[in-house]
Amino acid sequence: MTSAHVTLNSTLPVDELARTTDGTSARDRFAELLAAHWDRAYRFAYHLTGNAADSDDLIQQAAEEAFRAFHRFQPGTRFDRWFFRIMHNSFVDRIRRDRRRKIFSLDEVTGVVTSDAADPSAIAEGALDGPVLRALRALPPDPRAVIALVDLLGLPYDDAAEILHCPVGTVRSRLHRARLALREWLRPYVDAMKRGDL
Amino acid sequence: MPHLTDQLSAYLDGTLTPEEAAAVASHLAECAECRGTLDDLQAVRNLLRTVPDRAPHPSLLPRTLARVGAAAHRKVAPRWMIAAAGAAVGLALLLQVRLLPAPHTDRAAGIWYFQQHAVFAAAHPMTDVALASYLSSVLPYEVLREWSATPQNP
Ligand SMILES: [Zn+2]
Repeated sequence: MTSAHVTLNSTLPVDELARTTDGTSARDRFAELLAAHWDRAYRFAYHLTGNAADSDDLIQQAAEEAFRAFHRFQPGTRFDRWFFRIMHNSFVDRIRRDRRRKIFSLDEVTGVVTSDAADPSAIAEGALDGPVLRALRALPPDPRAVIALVDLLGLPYDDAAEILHCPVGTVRSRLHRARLALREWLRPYVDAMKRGDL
Repeated sequence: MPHLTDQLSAYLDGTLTPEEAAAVASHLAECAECRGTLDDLQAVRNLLRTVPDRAPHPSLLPRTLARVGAAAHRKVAPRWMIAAAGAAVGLALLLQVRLLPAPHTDRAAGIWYFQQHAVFAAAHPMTDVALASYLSSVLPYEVLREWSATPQNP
């Protein structure tokens, strides 16, 4: 910020001045941080929502909320965790608002997953993510978020706990229950994986 | 001894303390069922690792940043106005509590009140609307009419 810039803006009301000087540079800093973590943030959004349209909406909404709260972000702390947490909050709010969002029962999921291919060893290489993604989408939101952070994005438990705003022990138990549910839903693929057929 | 539960996932992920891990290992050495569960969990984790990365559309980031900028500009004016309106309401309440003789139903008090109001309105135009609406709701009609006809009224 040059002194000439301050002089030019000094005729504005105080609130306006604060917005102009802070707003511009804060937006640049925000854009830089968001771009650095964009791809991983998108993967989290995608696995939370389960489809491209909703993940686009979610990450855009989260970006707007994060920018409004950006003055509370402490430089030097992890932007990705901070942003993931905001995005997860947005996601939870969405689910609460959208009561029409359907959460499949275990029986329905079993049907969906196993009808895809009776013989898992016969499915083509690269086609496996179909049933796995469907099983992921069938998990309730909380365990799905833990699986996304720990198993898909590779974050440590304590990062996941910070993002999901819960104790590490809760992350651990949710993760375990989610893996057990996926084991049941994906039983033929799990067995094939153990035999080394996948 | 009960079977292992979420210690198994933590063991698989290597997040247990050395003591906890040793306890899990000694249970596993004696329990085929928990060994089977651990194998299953490992297979699930490997299955999840086959899920391919999803890349965002290249235009999504620039579109999002454009929206962030637009939203920031949309937000500023209303927030400023809301703050001013809030200050006006606070001022109106303060005036009532601190400056007004109570009760103020007689004409002289009402006129005095409006003189105070005029001073504040001149100094703080943003507070005027809120204060005027507040006054019109608390003062008797004849006082309002009298004040409306007063020449020095702004
Ligand atoms: Zn056991």
